[in-house]
Amino acid sequence: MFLSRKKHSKDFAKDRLKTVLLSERMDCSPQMMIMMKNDIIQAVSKYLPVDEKNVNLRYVAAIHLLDAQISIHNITESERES
Amino acid sequence: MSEVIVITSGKGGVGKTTTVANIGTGLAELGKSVVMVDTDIGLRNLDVVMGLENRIVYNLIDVVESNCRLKQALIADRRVEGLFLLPTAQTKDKSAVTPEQMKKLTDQLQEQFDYILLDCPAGIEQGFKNAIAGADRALVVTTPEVSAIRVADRIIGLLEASDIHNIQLIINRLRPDMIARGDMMTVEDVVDILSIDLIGAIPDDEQIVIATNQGAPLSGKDSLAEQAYRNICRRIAGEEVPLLDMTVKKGFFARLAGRFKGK
Repeated sequence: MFLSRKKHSKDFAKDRLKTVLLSERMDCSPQMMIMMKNDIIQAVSKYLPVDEKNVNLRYVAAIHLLDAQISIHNITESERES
Repeated sequence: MSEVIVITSGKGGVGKTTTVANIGTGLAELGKSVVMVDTDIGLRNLDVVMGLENRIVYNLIDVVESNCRLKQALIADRRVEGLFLLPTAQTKDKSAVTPEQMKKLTDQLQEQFDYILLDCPAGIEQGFKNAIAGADRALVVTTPEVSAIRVADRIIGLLEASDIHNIQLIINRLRPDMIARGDMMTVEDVVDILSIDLIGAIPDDEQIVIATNQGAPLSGKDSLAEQAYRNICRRIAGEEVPLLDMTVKKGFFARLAGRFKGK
């Protein structure tokens, strides 16, 4: 059975909360956050194959840190050599 | 060592007052001297949850305005030794006291009690500022819902901005059956989102409603929610109730969920 896992309602809740809290913690509108995220993806994509669905931004207020986790598609040997 | 703990949530209706009543009773049962202060001026509620509404003579405003001595306004709970309630005024509004006056009051209470529990009003305005003025420590109550979590995050930010850094999370009204279906965020999900320390998780439990109906917190001795509240009290008192406890609770949840499915 390899049916793709159905997204549960709690996953929507979690994703939505992460986005809205990031925007509120940084005092930056949700629209601006999405634009910034897209710009980050674009910039990194120039150099690496970014897995766009797995890019997570996190803001750590205590140390004023914006932490971006950017998943990269597997870079095979052949691609590295070329 | 005396500690002033504010119980807050931002959003209303998530179980702040019930939490204060249960933790207050639980700490007193552990042999501590405890005073629960209702700071929700104009919307008095802790008295009815505790079943002490008929014994109010003076209130917090009377103390602050020196209409009575502090001792006269404190109501002793006759069921548990060492447990007291300082009720709030019903006819005034939040601007009737200032943060400075609240700080003075909590300082005064610290001379007599091990724990001062402040029941904070909903919102982030004057009432919230009054309630946190004298607090050393905060317990943020939330439920696993987007609205409550969003507001809890704001509250955590405001507490930190007010130099209260000892902040812990209570997740209330967890529904094991919904969690099992993937329709409710888990304890881990909520902790991950808010990224603060957890001090306890309370399952949604009808015994809490029954106990509140009777004005007698912690009276349904064997209910899951009450066990969870007792664990929180032990942790507040400094006892190491290890992380294992959460797994035990998870075991409870899983078993309970299994029972629901079986039906």
